[in-house]
Amino acid sequence: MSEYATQLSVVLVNGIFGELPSQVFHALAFNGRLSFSGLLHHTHFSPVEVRHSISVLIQQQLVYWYEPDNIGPALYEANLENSYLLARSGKYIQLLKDRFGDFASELVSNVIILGHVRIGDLTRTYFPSIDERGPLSEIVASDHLSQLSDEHPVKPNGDTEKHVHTVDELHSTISNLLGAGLLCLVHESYFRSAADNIAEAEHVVPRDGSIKSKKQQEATWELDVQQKLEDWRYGSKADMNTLAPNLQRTKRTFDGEHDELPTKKRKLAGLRAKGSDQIAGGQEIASSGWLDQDFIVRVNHEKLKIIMRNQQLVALAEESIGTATSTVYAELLRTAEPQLRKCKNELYIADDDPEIELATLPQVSTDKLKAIKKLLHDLPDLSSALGKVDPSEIDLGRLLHKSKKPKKRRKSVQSDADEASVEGSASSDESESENIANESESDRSTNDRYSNSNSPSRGDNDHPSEGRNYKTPDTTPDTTPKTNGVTSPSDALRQHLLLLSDQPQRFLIPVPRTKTDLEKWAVPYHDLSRTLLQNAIVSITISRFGPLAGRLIRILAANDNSTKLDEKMLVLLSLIPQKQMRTLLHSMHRAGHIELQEIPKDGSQRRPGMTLFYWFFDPDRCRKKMLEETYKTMTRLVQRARVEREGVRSTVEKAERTDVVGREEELLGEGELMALNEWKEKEERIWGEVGRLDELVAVLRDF
Amino acid sequence: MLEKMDIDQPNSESGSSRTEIKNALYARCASLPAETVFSQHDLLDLGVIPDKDIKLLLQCTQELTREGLLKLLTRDGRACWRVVKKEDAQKYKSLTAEESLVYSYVESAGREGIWNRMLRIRSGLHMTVVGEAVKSLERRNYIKQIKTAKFPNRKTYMLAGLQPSEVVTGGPFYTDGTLDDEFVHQMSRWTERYIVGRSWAKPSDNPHIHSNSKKTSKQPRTSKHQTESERLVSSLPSRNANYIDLLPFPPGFTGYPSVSEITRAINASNLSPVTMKEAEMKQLLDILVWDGRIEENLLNGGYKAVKKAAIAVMNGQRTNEGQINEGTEPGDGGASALTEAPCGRCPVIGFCEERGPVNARSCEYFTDWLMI
Ligand code: SF4
Repeated sequence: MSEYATQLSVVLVNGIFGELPSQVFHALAFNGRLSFSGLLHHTHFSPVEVRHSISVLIQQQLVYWYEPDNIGPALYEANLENSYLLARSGKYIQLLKDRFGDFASELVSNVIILGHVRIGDLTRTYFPSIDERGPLSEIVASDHLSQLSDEHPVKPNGDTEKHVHTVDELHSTISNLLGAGLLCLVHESYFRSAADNIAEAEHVVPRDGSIKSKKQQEATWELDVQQKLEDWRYGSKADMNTLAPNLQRTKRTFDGEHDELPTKKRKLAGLRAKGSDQIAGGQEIASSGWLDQDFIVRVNHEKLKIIMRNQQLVALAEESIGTATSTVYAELLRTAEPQLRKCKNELYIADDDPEIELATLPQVSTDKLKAIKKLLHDLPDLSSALGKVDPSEIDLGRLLHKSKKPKKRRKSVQSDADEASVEGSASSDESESENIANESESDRSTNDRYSNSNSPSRGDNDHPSEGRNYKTPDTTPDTTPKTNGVTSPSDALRQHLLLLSDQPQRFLIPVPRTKTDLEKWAVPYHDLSRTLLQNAIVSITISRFGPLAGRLIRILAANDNSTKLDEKMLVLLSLIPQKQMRTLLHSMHRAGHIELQEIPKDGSQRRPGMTLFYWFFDPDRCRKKMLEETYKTMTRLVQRARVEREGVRSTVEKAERTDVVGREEELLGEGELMALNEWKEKEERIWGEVGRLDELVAVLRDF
Repeated sequence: MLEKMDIDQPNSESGSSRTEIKNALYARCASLPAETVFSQHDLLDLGVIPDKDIKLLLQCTQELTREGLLKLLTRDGRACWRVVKKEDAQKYKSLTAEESLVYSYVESAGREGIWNRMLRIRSGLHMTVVGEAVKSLERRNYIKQIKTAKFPNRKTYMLAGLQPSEVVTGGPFYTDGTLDDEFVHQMSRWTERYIVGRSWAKPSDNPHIHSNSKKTSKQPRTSKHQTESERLVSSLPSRNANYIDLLPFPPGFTGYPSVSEITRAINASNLSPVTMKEAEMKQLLDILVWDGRIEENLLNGGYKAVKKAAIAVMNGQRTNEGQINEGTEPGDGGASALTEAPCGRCPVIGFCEERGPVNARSCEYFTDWLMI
C-alpha cells in the first residue's frame, strides 16, 4: 500500500472514530506490525487509552491481530484495505436500500457500525426480550464486541421497529442477505493479515500421506490450503449447515450453470470443484427457522465491488447502445452475480482454446432471463427500441459463428438451428419457460429470421443437408418483408442480447445452443474490466490535456501496449503537427500518463542528437499513478471537510442539540442558518466528490 | 506507307553527313517518350542509321554523349542510352564538373528527391563543394529544396521542374511537407457526418415508438430493482434537455459503411479536388476511432458512430470552430471524477502536505471550487 492510501485511511478513521483511535491506527499504519508495548511507545497514550482504541479498531476489522501459537505477545497490524472501505459504507447501505428495502439497509448499517456482530446480539438489539438458544460462544473478539456494543448501543429507531414483526422476519432477512453474499460469516482468520492466514492454513492443513507421488501430494496439499483459506474467508459448507439447519438448498446457480461442461473444462483442475463448497458463491438460502445465534456476520465488500462493476458496465452499455438494451444487460449481470465471488476472477484463464476461456466465464442462459418478470414486462418496449432495416442487411449467422468457437461446436450449433426450424414448435417446449405466452410462435419466428435472410424458405421440409450454410444467398424470400429484427415480443430479449455481443466492447459472448446445453451468454469480465480501466485513463488524459492527448494515448494503448513508437511514426499515425505533438507527449510523460524510453545510438556517449526516443503506454504504471493521485485527492477532500466543519462547529453543535432539532428556524439566528446551509452544501459537494472518486478507485484498483 | 517512308528517308539522304544522321537519331529518340532507355539494338532498329552500321552508330552516340544530348548508362553490363533534353543539355554545358555531378544525382533521384547527406556520400565530394554546387544550382533555378513529410529537418533536393511524389509529400494530408491541419479536420468532419448518418435509427423511423417509450418512463418507479439502475441512468449525459434519442440497428446489421464505401463517397462528394485512396481513408478513420468518435464494427469491418458523438453531431454542437469546441465535446469522454476535484488538476499537488506551506486547510483552489 502506498503512502497516500495510508494517509487516506488515517484520515477516514479519524473522521469516523475520532482522534484517539486514529492516532493508534496512524502508528500502526506507518510503523507496520507492533506489539502492545510497541504501540504504547509510539503513541504516548496510556495503556487504557490504547487498549480501548485497539478494541474499537479490531471490532471494525481495521486492525489485524495475531498471537503466534498463543505464545508471546499479540501483534497488531493496520488493515488498510478495510479502512479504505469506510469510504464506501454509504454506497453499501444505499445498495441494500435499493434492493432489499429499508429494513435490510437499516440492519446492514447496524452491522457496519458494529463492524461485525453475533446474530444473537443483533437479534437482541431488535428484540431485547428474546431468549437465546444455546450458550454464548467464546469466539474471538466477542469481548471486543460486547465492549463496543455497550458504547454504541444500537437502537433501532421507532420507524423500523414498526416494520419488523417477527424474529422470523429478521432472520429471513439475514439469510437472504447471506444468500446474496451481501453479508457473510466471520471466521477468526478475518482478524489476521493475509500472510498470517497463509502461514496458519499451511500449519493446520495436513498432508495426505496416502498419495505416493511427492509432486502430486504437494499439489493436492496446496489446493487444500487454498480451500481452507477460502473456507475461512467465506464460510464453509459445514458452517452453513450449522447456521441454518432447516435450510432448503436450492441448486446453486454456480454449479447449475456449469454442470454440463465438457470434460475438458472439468479438468480445469479442482479449480471449480474447489469453488463448489462455499456458500458465499451465492446459494439461495431459504431458511425456515432461526439461524444459529452464535455465528458472527459482517458485510462483504467483495460483493459490493462486483455490483459496482456491474453498474458501471450497465452505464457503459446504456451510453453506447441505449436504455432498453442496458436494462436487459443489468438483469443478465444480476443473474450472473452469484457466480462470482470476487471481481478478479480466480477461475479466469486466458487460453488459446476459446472453449476453456469461455468455461471460466460466468454464463447465463436465455431461458433464465426470459423468466425474469421485469423483462417480460418490458418486452414491448424492448422490441420498439431497435431501428428497422432491410432484412437483407442482417446477417446473424456471422455473429453467432464468429464467436471464436471451435469447429466441432460450430457445426453442431448449425444443425441444431436447422433442426429447430424444421420441427417448429416441437423444439420449443423442451426448454422454454411456461411463463411466456406464444413461446412456440416466437421460437418459430426466431428461426424465420435465420431462414429469411440466409437460407431457403422455411416451407422447405427437406432434412437439412450438411452443406446448407447461413450465408447461402436468399433466393426465395417467402415471408412478408420484415423491417425490424424483432417479430414477436419475446424475440426482442434475444435481439438485445445479440446486440450486446455485436459491439466493439463485446459486452457478451454468445455461447450457442448445443444438443445438450441451452443457449447461454458469457460475460467476459476480464476484458470488460480492462475496457473500463482504459476508458477511465483516457478520460483523465483528455480532461487534462485535451482531445488530441486522448488520441495519442489511444494510439499508444492500441496494440496491446507492447508497441513503442518514435515521434515520426506517431506523427504519421496521429496526423498531429510535430511541435504540438511533442509538447503534448512531454506533458503527458511528466504527469505519468505515458512512458519514454531512450535508446542511444552512440553507445555510452548519449548525445541527444544520437538518441532514439520511443514512447509507450504502460497501463499498470499509469493505473498506479492515477490511483495514487486519486487517493491523495480524496485525502485532501476529507481533510478539507474537517476544516469546513471546524469553521461552523459551534453552530452545528447548537443545531444538533435535542431542544433545537426541528425548531431550527426559531432558535437559530439568520446568520447561523445561512452558515449552516452553506456548510451543508459544501459537505454535500465534498462527499459527493469523494463518492465519485471512490468509483474511480474501484475501476483503477478493484475490478 | 509510313513504314516505307521511315525506311526510305535515311536512304534518300544516304549521302548526307554524319552530323545529319546524328541529329536525325537524336530527333527520333527524343520523339519517343522521355526516360526511354535504348540499347544498341533498339537504336539500330529505329532505322535511322543506314544499313544498321554499328560503327556509324557508335560514332553518333559518342558525339551525342559528348554534347550531353545522350546519357550513357549501363544495364545488365551493357551500354545503353537515354535522351537528354536540349535545354537540359544546355544546363550541363554551363555547369562545372562538380555541379554537373551533383545535378546528375539530383536528377536521378527523380520525384523522390535526394537528401543533402546522400548527395555528399554518393558524389564523394567534400561537403563544402557539394554545398556550393547546390547553391549555385539553386540560384540558377535548376534544382529546388523540398520538404519531406517524413523527415522535415532533412535538406532534400529535387529538379526544379518536378513535383514531389506522394511519398515525399506525405499524401493528401500534407502541403509543402507540413501537415495540413485544416484539411485533415475538414475531411474527418465530413467522414464523421457521413458515418453518423448511417449508424443509428431515429425514433421517427419507427412510427409507433413514441407511445411505447412514454410508457417506459413511467414504469420504472414501480419496482425496487429499478431504483438502482434508474439512479445510474439519470446521471448520464443522455438525460440532458437537448437529448436526441437514437435507436441501435438490430444485431447482425451489415449496413455500416466500409472503408471502400466511405472512400467512394468522399471522392464523389467534391469536397476536395484531392482523390483519396483507401489507405488514406483508413488513416483518417483510424484517427476518428482514436478520438472516440466512431468504432469499428466487429463483424463486417464497417464503421459506426459512437452514440455520444453522433448525438453531438446531430445537435450541431460541432461548429466550424471545431478546434476550440472539441475539448468539451461529449464524444471525447472528457469528464473524470479525478479532474473534477481541485487536486486532480492542481499544479502544486506535489508540494501539498498536511502540515506544509501548501495544504488543504488554506488551499484557495478549494475555496474557489466550493464556491461554484
Ligand atoms: S488541496 Fe489545494 S494545494 Fe493541495 S493538492 Fe488539492 S488543490 Fe492542490
